[in-house]
Amino acid sequence: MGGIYMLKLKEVSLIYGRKEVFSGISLEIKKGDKIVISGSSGCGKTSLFGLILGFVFPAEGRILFENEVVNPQNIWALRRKIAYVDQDASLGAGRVEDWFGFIFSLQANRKLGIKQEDLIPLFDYFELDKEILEERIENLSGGQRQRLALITAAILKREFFLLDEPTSFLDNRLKKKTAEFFMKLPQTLIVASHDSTWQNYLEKVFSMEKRKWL
Amino acid sequence: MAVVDISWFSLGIAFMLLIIPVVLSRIYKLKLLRPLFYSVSRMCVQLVLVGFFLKFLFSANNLFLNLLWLGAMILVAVWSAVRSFSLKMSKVLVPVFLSFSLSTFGIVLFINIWVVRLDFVFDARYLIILGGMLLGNSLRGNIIGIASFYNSIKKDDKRFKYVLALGASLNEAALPYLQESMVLALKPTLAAMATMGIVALPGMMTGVILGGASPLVAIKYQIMIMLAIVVSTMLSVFLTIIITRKICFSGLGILRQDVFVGR
Repeated sequence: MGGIYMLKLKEVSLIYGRKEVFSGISLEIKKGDKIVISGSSGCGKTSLFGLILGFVFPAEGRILFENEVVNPQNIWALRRKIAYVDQDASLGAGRVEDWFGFIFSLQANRKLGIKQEDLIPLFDYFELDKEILEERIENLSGGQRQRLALITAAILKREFFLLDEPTSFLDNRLKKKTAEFFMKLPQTLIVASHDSTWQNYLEKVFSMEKRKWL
Repeated sequence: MAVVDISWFSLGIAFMLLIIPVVLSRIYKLKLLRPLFYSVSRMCVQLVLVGFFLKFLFSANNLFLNLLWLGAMILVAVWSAVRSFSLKMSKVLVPVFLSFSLSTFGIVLFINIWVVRLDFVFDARYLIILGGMLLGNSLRGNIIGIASFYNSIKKDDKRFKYVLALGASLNEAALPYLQESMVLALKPTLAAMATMGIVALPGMMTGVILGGASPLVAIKYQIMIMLAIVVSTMLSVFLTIIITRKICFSGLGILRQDVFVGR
């Protein structure tokens, strides 16, 4: 049957303009796998996520998401299975409350019927005051925004977490807490990070530079 | 009371006013002489040509000619709008033309048929003059609105992608930018409307009064034209965004680099 693979990358290479970002990446991820993609900054971790999310197409190779080749027709449905945290926690501007309101109102999430109260346990776990809902995103610290992005990903109950340097603005204690939180969840998890915290928690580490599992 | 004609000689006297800026520029070296004379000459040449042309158009008052001239005006407006968007002319000229035509022509016809109740709804005097006023305002609204729409999405690239990655459709991801751009585009018109009559008497109203009509007729025309302007500006900005969006985003929901100039 072979349906157990969530994501398969076959000899994928990516070119921006004339510059090759990476080449020959092959990766197979099963449902429920929890892995780290490691590598120094600039090695293409974020670009790899861009490929998985369908923001760019590979110059060579193929990407299969649940055995389907990613294309402009199916990418919209695929994105709705992914809970993504972007590197910079780019929540934009405006009130925190409105950010969550906007995300919950998206057609993909409306059926979940998430209410603002549902956020409270997550706010508690990630040590954010619920008063932060009233604040403006532009006035928050990187660490606060990052935790809001993690909470956004967690509450959407998607099948697949894609976290790009999700704890770069957090201190060690919160890093560990975050890793523990996601380890306990049954969903598939890919974390791009050069932070050793994640590598201590997750059994499988894929090195972008060596193009193989460590 | 009919309008008092100004003889060409008298108009020449109006040019004597220019002595003031000339003297001021001489004394204070204002560097305004060249731009002043350039603009004054251009204005004179253009207006004289338009004057004769409109005179001809009004006396002919031919359906086909009137429509052709309105079409030409729309084309010029679209041309300058698209140039300011930094979008490639070849990709968006036709869709923006459609948007401007619909919002100008539709509203002018509505006015001519239902408000002014003309016998000949394509009458040059109304079709071309009202059309021109609507176009000028749509053009300004579009220049502000469309530039804001695409520039904010470009500037917000990360957030835009982040929201797409969280499962937003293109419509949903673009909605905040659409809202923001529409507000920006309409702001000048709304502000002008809100202060109208207090801060300044609007040009059209002044024209109608100078033309000999009662101020009450003038305000009726002014209210009508402002309603037409605000609706056609809104409609054209909205249509331009909706139509160009189909062209400017790839199937993956990302801005296509090849439709923008200079990239």
